Amino acid sequence: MSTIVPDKKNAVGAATGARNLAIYLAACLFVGFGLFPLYMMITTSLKTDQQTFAWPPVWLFTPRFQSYYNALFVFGGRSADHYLFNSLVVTLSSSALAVFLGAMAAYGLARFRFRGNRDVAFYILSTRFAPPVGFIVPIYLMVQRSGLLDTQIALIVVYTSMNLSFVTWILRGFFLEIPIEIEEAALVDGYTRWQIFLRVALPLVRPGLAATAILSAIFSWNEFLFASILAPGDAATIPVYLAGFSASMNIDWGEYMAVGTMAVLPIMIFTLALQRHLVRGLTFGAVR
Amino acid sequence: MAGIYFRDIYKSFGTSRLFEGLSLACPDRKYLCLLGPSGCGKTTLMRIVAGLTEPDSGEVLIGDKRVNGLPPASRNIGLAFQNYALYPHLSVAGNLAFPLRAPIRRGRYRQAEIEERVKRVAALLRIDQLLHRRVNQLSGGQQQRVALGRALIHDPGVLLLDEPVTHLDARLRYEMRAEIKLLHDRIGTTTIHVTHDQQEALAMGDLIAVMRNGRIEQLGAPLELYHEPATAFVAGFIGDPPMSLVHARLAQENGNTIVQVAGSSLSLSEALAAQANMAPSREIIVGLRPKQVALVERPEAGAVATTVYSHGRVGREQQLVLTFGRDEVHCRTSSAIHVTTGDKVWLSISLDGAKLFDAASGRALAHT
Repeated sequence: MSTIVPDKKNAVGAATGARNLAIYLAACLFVGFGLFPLYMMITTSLKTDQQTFAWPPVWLFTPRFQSYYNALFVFGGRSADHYLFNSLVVTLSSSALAVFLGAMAAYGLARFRFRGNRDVAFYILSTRFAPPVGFIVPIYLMVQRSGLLDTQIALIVVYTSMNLSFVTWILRGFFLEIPIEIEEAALVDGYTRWQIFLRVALPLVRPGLAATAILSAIFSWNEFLFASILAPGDAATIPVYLAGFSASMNIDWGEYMAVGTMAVLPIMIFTLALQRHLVRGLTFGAVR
Repeated sequence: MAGIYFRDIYKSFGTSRLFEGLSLACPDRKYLCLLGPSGCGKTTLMRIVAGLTEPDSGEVLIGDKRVNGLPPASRNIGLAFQNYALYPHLSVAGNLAFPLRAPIRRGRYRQAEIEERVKRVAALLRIDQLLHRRVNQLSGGQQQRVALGRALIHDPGVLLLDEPVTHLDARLRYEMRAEIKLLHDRIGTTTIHVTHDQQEALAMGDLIAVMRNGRIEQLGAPLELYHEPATAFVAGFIGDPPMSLVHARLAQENGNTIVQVAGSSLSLSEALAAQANMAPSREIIVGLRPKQVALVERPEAGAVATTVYSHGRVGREQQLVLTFGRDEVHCRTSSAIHVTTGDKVWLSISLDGAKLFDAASGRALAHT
């Protein structure tokens, strides 16, 4: 008997081991599938043309940064850094605006009772029901008539309005979670609504601010459709510039991939930097 | 420093009316306990002082100043919430200094003075070694002290405490009760303390206002409430155990007024008979302290039959709840006896010192 028990245990252990291994392999496969394009992009940006088109593929090679140099300093016209800068301005401005305005709207919807409160909240969400391409013509005309075609302002305004609805909805939930007594305490302590919003409510929804800032930034950074139509020239953002590569007769794969890599980096750094603020549970234990 | 006065307060929530012409005064430097079961309006009354809830009509005065419509910040009050409501993103020191840094007090305190005050109030509440901690790293008792300190730090004219010790464990609760009381004796700030715990109110209040359904049942000093309850509700709420309330009927026997209850007759002393004769109807409620009832071994003259409803031992004594007619009677024995639920026991009742109430209104029958 005493020998059977450990045997059985081992059998069970082996079974779970095999199961875990299978799950692990499947997960690796999936992650690999997701990351492979990124790997290809980065390695191609570091290869020579010869290495890029070699068959069988070259797995080991000495990286060279010629493509980056070319993209930044050699190419004619505006170079990649100009469009990266455009993207940075548009993304940071529109995200900051969307998060701040959205936070104010969300706070109002969460804290004040007024006629049609829920209707307003639903209306804000409903602005995202229609596919954006549906109103690209009216927006184009509005931007054109106000003389903002091919400006960063046009993109900032459009992206802010597109991000505002989901920022408001997400933050409204965060504000609703703040115990009302904390804000009442601040009222008694001598603060006005506006100061309570800034000094009590906003710090308490920091995870929400970080989450919505990340999502808005990713959207603005990657948005292509509106950018390509409203700002096709000097104010173009990096996705529009990137698309220009594939349209040319002769694709410079190394440079194309170098710009692609440079386009991924800022948003990745931004997300990683804000990620630590995503920790939940700041208000946990505030009241009992 | 200032007294707090309510004059003819009306307040409804939707269709349910809470206060209908409530008036109440808490004189300067007094410690007033608002005592009542949940839903009686005690917290709402406190929120009306704070300005977090506005009455529909009626006046609220702090000192001789009408504060209706004033924002909470302008009322110079300190408020400790039942759930503490500390600022989770700030340290203990940050929480304590928060009222001093409020824009409404801008320029009143210099940075050095803020720090000094924080230290002083922290020392007073014995949380000075915790100043740099986050508030969610504190125990319940420590959080409670921080909440109290935050309410006190700007020398408010009025201190409002909403169930300040309810969430603490029993030992800490006794400790904090004594400390809050001591604190009040030292600083003398007019205080309103909301509680549903009659022991707490008896131990802490200079004055107690017993509330029920948005009405003040009685306002008085603790002993006054204990010895001279104005209504049957107060009698049944105050004391541990409280008075037993027994429905009874007045009758005449040989020219004397007697009390009939559950088939038994009890005679009244002269003083009580005089009171009983003032009764508007024959239906009354008799309030009995536990010491007025005693278990007896066998049926004897004046003893009544009761049934054991529940029993429990507290130290050497045994506490019994007995069913008597349609009411329950609390009774104590000095030595342990063996009874089980449903047993029939005999009770000798002494009506000396009993309180008589009109059954319909619940009001105490007045002396002569």
